[in-house]
Amino acid sequence: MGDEERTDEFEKQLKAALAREEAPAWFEARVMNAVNQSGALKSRQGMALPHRRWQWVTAAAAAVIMIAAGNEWAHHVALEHIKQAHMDADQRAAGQAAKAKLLLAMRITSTKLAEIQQKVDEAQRND
Amino acid sequence: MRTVILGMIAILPLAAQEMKLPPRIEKLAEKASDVVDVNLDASMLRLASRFLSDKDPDEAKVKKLVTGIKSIMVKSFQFDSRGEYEQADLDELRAQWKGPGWSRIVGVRSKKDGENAEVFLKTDGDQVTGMAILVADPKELTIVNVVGPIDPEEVRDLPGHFGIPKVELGKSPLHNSSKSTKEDDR
Repeated sequence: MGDEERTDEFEKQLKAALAREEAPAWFEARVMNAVNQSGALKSRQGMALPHRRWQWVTAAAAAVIMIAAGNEWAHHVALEHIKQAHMDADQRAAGQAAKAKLLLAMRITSTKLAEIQQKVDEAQRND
Repeated sequence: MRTVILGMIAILPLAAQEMKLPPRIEKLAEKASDVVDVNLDASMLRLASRFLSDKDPDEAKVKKLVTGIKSIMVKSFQFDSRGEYEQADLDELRAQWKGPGWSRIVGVRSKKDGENAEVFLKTDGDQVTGMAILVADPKELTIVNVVGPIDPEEVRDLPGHFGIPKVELGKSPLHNSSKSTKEDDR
């Protein structure tokens, strides 16, 4: 074989190698399927991340609300205790005052009745 | 309307016993040197009773005595000089204790000392449902009105068991106060 013949043969092989070949029909389908799957995965990942963030935000907000509510409740309970203590003290004071008045009223009534009884007894003795 | 009428009927017996003080007697406080003014309605009596000890025999006795009583009013005036109150005011008071059920059980009058003491009882059947005392001395006026079931004898017997000395005529705390006033006059 001469040099020219070798060159022609090489060119043919090169052309054949570089020639545009149409992809088989199944190839497009597979690629499109792969692309779709990839898109769906990305889409899922894109959705999942904010969703997790919202879960954290919600949990944090719930924790803050619970702590605030707990504090508020503790404050309310403390206030109620203070109010109750004041009410008890007020009621005790009112009760003691009423008792003192009652004892005074009964002493005066008793004293007057005893005086009158004694006057009656004296009058009867004089008669 | 029916509720109002029923309510009025319910309070009628109580209102009938409630005493109305003549305005001039209310104003005696301005002239008096010493004033005792005690008004206890049913709720105050209940409150006071809750604070009376069951363990203290004297307080327990008072607690038992005032059970069922609806009101107690005591007004006592001590004056530095004689004739500060009007007889007409006393007559107005007495008139209130002449209604149905009321009777004057004791009346003591001393022309020499000018002392007057009267006890009125309101009864419903055998039960005493009210008591009024009027003591009118020249320098002292005491009015007591009790509404509700009360035993005057038990009340009278309280002093000896009540943390204060048993009363002797002219030596009660009120009379002592009058005597000191008399001595001051000299």
